[in-house]
Amino acid sequence: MKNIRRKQIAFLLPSLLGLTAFFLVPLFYCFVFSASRTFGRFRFSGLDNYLSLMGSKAFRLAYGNTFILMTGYIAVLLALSLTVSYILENSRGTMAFLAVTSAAMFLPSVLIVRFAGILPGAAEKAPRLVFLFIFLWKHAGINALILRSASNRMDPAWREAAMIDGAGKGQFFWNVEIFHLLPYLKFLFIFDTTCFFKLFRESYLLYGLYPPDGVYMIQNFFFNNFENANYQRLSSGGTIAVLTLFAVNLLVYKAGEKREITQ
Amino acid sequence: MRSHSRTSGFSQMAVRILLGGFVLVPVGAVAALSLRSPLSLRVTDLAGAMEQFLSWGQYRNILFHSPEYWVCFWNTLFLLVPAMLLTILFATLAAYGLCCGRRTRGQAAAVMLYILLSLLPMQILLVPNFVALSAMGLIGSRLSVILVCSFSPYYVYFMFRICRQIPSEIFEAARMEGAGELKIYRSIAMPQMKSGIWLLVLIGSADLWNMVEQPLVFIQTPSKYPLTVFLRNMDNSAGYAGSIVFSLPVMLLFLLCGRDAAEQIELL
Amino acid sequence: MTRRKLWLFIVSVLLLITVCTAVSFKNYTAGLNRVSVSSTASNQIHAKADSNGIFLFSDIQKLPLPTDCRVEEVMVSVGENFEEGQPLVRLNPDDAAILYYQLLLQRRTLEEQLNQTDEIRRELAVHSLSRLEEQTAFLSALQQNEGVIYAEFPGQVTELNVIPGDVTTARSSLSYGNLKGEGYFEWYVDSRQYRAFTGTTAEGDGFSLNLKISSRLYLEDKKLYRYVSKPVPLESVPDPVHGMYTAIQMQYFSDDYAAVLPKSCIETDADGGNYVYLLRERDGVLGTENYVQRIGVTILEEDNINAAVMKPLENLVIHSARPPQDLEKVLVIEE
Repeated sequence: MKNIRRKQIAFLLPSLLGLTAFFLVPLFYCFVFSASRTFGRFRFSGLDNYLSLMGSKAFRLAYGNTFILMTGYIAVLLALSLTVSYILENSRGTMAFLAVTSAAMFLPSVLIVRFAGILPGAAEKAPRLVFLFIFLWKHAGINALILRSASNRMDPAWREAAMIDGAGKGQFFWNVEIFHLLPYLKFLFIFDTTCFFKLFRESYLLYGLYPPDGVYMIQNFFFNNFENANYQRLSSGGTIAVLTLFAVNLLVYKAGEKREITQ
Repeated sequence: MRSHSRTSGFSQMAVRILLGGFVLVPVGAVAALSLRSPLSLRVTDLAGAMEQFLSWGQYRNILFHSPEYWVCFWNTLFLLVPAMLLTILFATLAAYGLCCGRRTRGQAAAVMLYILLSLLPMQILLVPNFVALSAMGLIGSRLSVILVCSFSPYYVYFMFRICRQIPSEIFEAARMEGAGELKIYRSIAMPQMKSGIWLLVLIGSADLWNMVEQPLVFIQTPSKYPLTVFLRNMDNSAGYAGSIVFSLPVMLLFLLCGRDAAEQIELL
Repeated sequence: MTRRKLWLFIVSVLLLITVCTAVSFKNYTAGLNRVSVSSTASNQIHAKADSNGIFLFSDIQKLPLPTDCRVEEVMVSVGENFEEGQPLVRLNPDDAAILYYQLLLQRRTLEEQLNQTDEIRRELAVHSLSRLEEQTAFLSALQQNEGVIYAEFPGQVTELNVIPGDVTTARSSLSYGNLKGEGYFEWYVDSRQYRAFTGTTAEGDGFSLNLKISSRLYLEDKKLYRYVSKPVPLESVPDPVHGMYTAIQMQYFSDDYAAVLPKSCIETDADGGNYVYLLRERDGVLGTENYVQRIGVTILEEDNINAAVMKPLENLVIHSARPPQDLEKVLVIEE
């Protein structure tokens, strides 16, 4: 079996190499040098970079915004998709309809940005709402599709059993179906975090590199620090962002596990 | 077997109309505006109104009078096609490498690595990527974006899940018959993963077609920017038509690959 | 979704894109405004004013014709040149003689008056006597010449108002310009063309002279400037005729300006601001592209062709196939 093992590694090699080169090493570099004063040689400066980062109003704004908006938007999106999936149960043509609406995810951002630009004054007066609109528009379809297909996969025997027991439609949903959907919801949460960060594209197309305060997100912070090559800020900021995201995702991943198992 | 309707047909219809409208309205609005004449003529009568609001002028501007648009279009293609091909190559190779043979601890660890890394959105990794690329001196060339996109862990994990659905007995049988791993990969694994690859192409192309930050940060010369960056600066004389034309390839791709993709999603 | 359909799709899309790209490029380069550029140069502003002037004799004298004589013959006419010793007019000698004796009588009376006591009367008498002397001398010469008045130096008759048969009065005159003297020019220049002219030339049949200005007068009601030149020797004008028309050209040359450009480059907008277009470069999607930028200039001085501006400019658009627009992309052609 060692033979296969080696061959296995050989197959993995190109991807792993690229991964290491472009992701792992730089991440490591980022972590390590976030505690260094200069970027070229490592000069230990402890938590100095982090402290200065915390002191930066821009970072606090960006971080806070990103966190709040991310959780808020994803919550709304999941709620909306769940509702849609619930109402549009497995009727005729549901899957096809949802498949079509999920095409919105693939359309180039320019389209929706142009539309947002048409809405009179929306871009200036309510940027957060505009972004919520864009986020929902793009991802409602695919989320509903995945939830729907997950529901379809559920064993119909359960539902019939519940019906025989006299449970109503809503009760069945809240007590049973949701737990079946939980792993999918978790997956979607993680998937949606990726989608949320892609909102930066729309932000750039609408506002350029300097959006209004309400939607100043962590990528804007990074961009603005790219320009003045403020590597200390970049590396410490990047580290914090990575760690936070890890934490959030792992939390969600582990969250409902116990309940899942009991189901 | 269809379950009994729990929700009334009316609310279903309502949701369909709402959601469908919600999705279609922006597209329709932009499409309608793309038919507006690029010159602002005074509307005095019906004929004038028709000329103002139903003209191909914008499309003419885009198709025949903007070489910058097409240069950027080619730029987008030059970024997308290599990145897509390389992604497919690396992802399928890695997926096969991860799921052939027994499940060892190393293998599980590698899978976990990919999962962890794919949790991170590409935007966050922009900073480390930039660092790595500037160390390699690739900043400013198209290769930087292509390489970064070809090693995305997200697609590796995706292909891994597809590949895992192939029963391993097939591989075992082929190995018994003395086929080499490469042969198994080429003639068995790949064809089985075909619909998965289509889905990958669909999702990956849509993603790459929309790429904005990576080109901005890694390539800094305007002559190499893809269309997303260029479209930002288009004004009303052609902007709407430009967006529509830009969306067409993706929509067409979706129409062509959509059915296979939809099946695949169900299997996920 | 067959493979063939996919390839068809890809190929047709690529074909379409290629066609659009090619057409776009062709239209683009054909549609670019073509310009040629230059820089401002050090130059002077030059203006001129053309005028019609007349030439006049400086030295015009009046022949002292005695009064109350019959004119028998007039040998010259206006505009005619006569030489020294040429007969001009013949008066009746008898009338001259009568006048002569009258004058003698007057002289005796005045001489008696000289012995008067009154100071004032004596002064008057002295004065009148000297004049009388001239006249009597003239008349005696006239008698000797049988009434013919000869020219004492070459001249040109400028005014003559007696004809044979007339009796001379105090108003009769024969004026002439001295051909040994000088002449001058007189002309007018419209106030709109006025400059601090630096040089003037007069041109006519067979001569071209540089003139100096003797005086300049502004006629407010007619908005004209009247110039009179300093006298020029009559030898420099062949065949001078009193009152002949000459072409006057006044030139103006300014000091050297560091930045002079052709006025055709300058665009004036409704508010009177002056603008020129400069060629600039920038990095665009299609590589380095040229565009024009409109900037304002202050004109210090101008003539019909050129204008002087404050700062020297490089890459100035001096000619374009069609009127340029601000920030328009252009193609530079070498002239």
